Amino acid sequence: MKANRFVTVLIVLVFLVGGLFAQGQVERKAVEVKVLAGVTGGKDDTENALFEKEMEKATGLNITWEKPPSGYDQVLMQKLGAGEVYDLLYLNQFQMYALANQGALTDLTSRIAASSVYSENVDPDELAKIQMNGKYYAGFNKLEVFPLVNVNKAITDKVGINLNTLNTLEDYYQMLKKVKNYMENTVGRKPYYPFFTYMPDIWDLQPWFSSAGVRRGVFKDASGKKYAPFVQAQAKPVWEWLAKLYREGLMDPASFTGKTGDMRNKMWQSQEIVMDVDWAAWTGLYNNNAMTAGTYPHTVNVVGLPGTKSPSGTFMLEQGGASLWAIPANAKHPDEAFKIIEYMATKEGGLLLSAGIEGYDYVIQDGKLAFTEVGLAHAKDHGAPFPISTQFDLGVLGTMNPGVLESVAIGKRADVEVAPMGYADGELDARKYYDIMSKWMTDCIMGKMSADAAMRGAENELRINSLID
Amino acid sequence: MNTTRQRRLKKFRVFYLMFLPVAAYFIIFTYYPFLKGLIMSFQENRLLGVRPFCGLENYRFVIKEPNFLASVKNSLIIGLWDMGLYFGFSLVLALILNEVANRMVKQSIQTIAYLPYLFSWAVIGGVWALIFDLQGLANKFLSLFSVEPIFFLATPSLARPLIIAMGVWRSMGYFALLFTVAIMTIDQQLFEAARIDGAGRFTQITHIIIPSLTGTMKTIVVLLSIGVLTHFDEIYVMVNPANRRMIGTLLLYVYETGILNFKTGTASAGATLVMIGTVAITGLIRKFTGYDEE
Amino acid sequence: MAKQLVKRDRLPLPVRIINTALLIFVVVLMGLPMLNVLAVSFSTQAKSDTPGLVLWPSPATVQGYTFIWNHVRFAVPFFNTIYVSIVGTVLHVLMASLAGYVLSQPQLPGRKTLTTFILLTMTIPYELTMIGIYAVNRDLHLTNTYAGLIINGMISGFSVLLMRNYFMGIPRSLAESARIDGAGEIRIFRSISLRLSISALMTIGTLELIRRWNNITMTVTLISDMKKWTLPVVLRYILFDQTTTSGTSYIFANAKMAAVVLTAVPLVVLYFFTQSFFSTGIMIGSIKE
Repeated sequence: MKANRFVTVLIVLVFLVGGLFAQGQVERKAVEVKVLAGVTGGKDDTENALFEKEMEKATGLNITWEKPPSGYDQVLMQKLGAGEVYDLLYLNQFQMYALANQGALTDLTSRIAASSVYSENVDPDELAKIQMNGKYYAGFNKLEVFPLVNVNKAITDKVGINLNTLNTLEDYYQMLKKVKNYMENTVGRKPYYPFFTYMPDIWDLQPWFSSAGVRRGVFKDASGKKYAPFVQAQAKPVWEWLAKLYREGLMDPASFTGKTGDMRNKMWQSQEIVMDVDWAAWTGLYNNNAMTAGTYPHTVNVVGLPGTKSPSGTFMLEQGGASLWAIPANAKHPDEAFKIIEYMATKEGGLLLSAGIEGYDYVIQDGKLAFTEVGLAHAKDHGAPFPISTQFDLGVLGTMNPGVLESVAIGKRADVEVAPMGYADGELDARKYYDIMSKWMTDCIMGKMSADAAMRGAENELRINSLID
Repeated sequence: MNTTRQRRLKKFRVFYLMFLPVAAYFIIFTYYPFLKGLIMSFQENRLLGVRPFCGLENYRFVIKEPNFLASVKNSLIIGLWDMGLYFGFSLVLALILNEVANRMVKQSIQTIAYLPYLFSWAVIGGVWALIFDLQGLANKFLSLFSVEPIFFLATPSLARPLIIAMGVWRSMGYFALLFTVAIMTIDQQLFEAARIDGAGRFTQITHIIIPSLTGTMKTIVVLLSIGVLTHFDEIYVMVNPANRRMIGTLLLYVYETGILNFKTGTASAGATLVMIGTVAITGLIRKFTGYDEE
Repeated sequence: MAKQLVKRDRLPLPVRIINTALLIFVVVLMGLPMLNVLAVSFSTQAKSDTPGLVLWPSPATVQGYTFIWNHVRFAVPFFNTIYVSIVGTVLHVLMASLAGYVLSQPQLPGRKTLTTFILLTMTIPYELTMIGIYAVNRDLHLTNTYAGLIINGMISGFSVLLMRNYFMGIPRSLAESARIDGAGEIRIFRSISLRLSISALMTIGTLELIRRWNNITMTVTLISDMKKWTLPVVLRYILFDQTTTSGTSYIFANAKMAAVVLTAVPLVVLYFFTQSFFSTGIMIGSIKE
């Protein structure tokens, strides 16, 4: 008897503890537009509440802006998989394709075509980049930038290199050789590997493959056949060029094993490399970090370059995968959700997603933004450091990091083509493509295999996995 | 017959009652979600809405994956080595630690040995990469013996040993603690008696401590066997294009092909296969070690 | 009497030397990451990002720590973490000892089945249950509650099997003679088995507390209300997830490592001191009155 009582008390206790604290539910609003947000929103509970209010004020809607703390991809899968219903989702481009392929997203083509906000604010070229089979399944979160060649001009100047004349693989090869020679024999840093390229996702290779006129990813030809340009004959000289760089000690071996962070630190902190391929925004961050360390511009002065010229005379760069907003197929309030998408594409929305909230992140003084301490800590980024609206003037955000505007401007040059990688109309399993390509081509660059053999190996494996036809 | 059985059950009723809250927890928070996942493995890849059944399609997809066998092999090699080495190293560490007479010293060493377990794999992987970098500590050490620098992280033949060593390094202190606690619960009177019989410390270790640890050893081997096929985090932080062929495991596949692509069916089917393998391995170990005997 | 028991024989000198050498090796090997993390956390912003292994900060600074102090509001998440970890751990130890005790009963009919029931829970990969776990918690209204964080992980097969093992180490004669004296099962559980397993309970408790303290996955699954975030989640969010690819801000390694240190230090201290609870042996004789 006594025993039973003990156990009963225990069970009751367990569920009491549960029950006691179970009231902390988020209160529900009458007609609410439910948003599941990744990066975009407030940075803590106070700011997120203010952000939600700003959104409500601007759109006249009741909005619940839910922003999971971390591991957004995991949370997204758990919530949607468990049948949670949202009106608006933050997605990256791959996720958009994956979900659209499963029929889980609302077709926004006609809404976007009819939207005056979109026609007034969004560059049609940008819009074309997120098309899937001629349709749209999402709107923009921000303007995407692109990776380009970043070179530490402080060092190349000392070697006496004119960066403006670098147009071919051979030009870059000669430049790296001179830098290596200078660093090893004049400065005495031995061994010196001047170039870092992040191999795990074959991420940063586009400026070099531009010389062969090919792009990363998988494309469909006129007959619908899928092919991967990086394993086709015209790509071979570039792989061989990379292998030569490695063989001659011009490429940092950490390119195969290191993380992007290592690459960046070597660039601005220790000057262990003189060149990499990185986001346009990073040109500015390199210099800004160097400024903090007191090495700008005499030791570190990073500038952006467009890379190598394609056979048709343009510089081919790759657009970063877009961050997007999509409306799930089961959304209860798609019309309201689209209003939010539209607002984020306006000038005002852009200001909210970059600078933040008036009165919290910044105040207006003499018609100009003056950032508060909080605002400065948030670094003018609440999801969109570069707003999508063409009406938005980046100048209102105050001074930018040194070099960044020049790098961003390269993308607007007439002889520069910025386009996304090939997604094969959204069918590509990008992760698998990266894995297969980087695995085989690393063997080629490290000299374990000829470029021909590695390309054949990669092509076979891509085909076995039905990534190409 | 029936009545004896009833009497027996009545006698043990209190134990079943004690087990009840635990069983309830597991049914609600483990078995029910598991069932959902299992069902998903027989359904089409669909994150939203109704998922139509598709029979064994997902399983066929996973097994037909060209690298399936290779990843099974990688998982088994890494997992089994880890199991053996976690066990051996932590047991030895616990025995050696037990011989440290000074309590503060002992506690300090034990704390330090446990330290790696406090850090996330991301931090550990970062430090590990620095140590085994081309210009890292390991190569500086080797250069003392004029050995040419070894590109540890990108040498395929070293990939598995490195991953295994990393696991041992992180978990050794953790499992050593479990042994230490078991050593501490040995009845001190046994040592007293042995001393009276003139047994030296060495005999005390082999005749008292080690036999007393049999139960703990069984428990730890069984616990370790559950982890054989489920190594993921350390692989995830260390995998690179040069070593992928050697350390790509099943769960890495489940993550990259299934989870990252929102392929609910593929991910569930892959994970179910991992579970079936784990049940088989643990079942064998359980039987082989006589875990259920006294 | 007690003093005499603590004193014990020693191994021959050569063996002791080998032992000491091995222990020094272990200390160096295991201490390395902590030293590296500490050194980086006390380095200057620029120095902390220098590639290569740093084992000593020069010059030393608390910049990293002040950065965190200015960017993270500690009080609420810190309290959340402590509350959830402690309540959760107490329940966990209680449940683990209950189930472990049941499984340690040699004559219990169905013992093997119950053991399988526990073992199976550990063989299920997280990838298989991640959606289901969220669904269950939502259906039970446990999302965005502390209760959710406490109840999930209230018990683990790991702890149950460990407790089962430690209970099995207690001589059965003690329980038998208590039964003959007319003690009930609960009384035996409480006054003999639990009392003799203090060190095991402390161990399970410490390990669970550390696990809960560092747990990110479950918090991320259950909590989206920012007011209920726990410390490791806040730190990870501020320091690791915020640097977007095209971002405008940069967080230096010294701040990141300072965060790692701040999360780990309470645990190191806790771990060190809980060991004093079980670093002396147990005398089973003392339990027999």
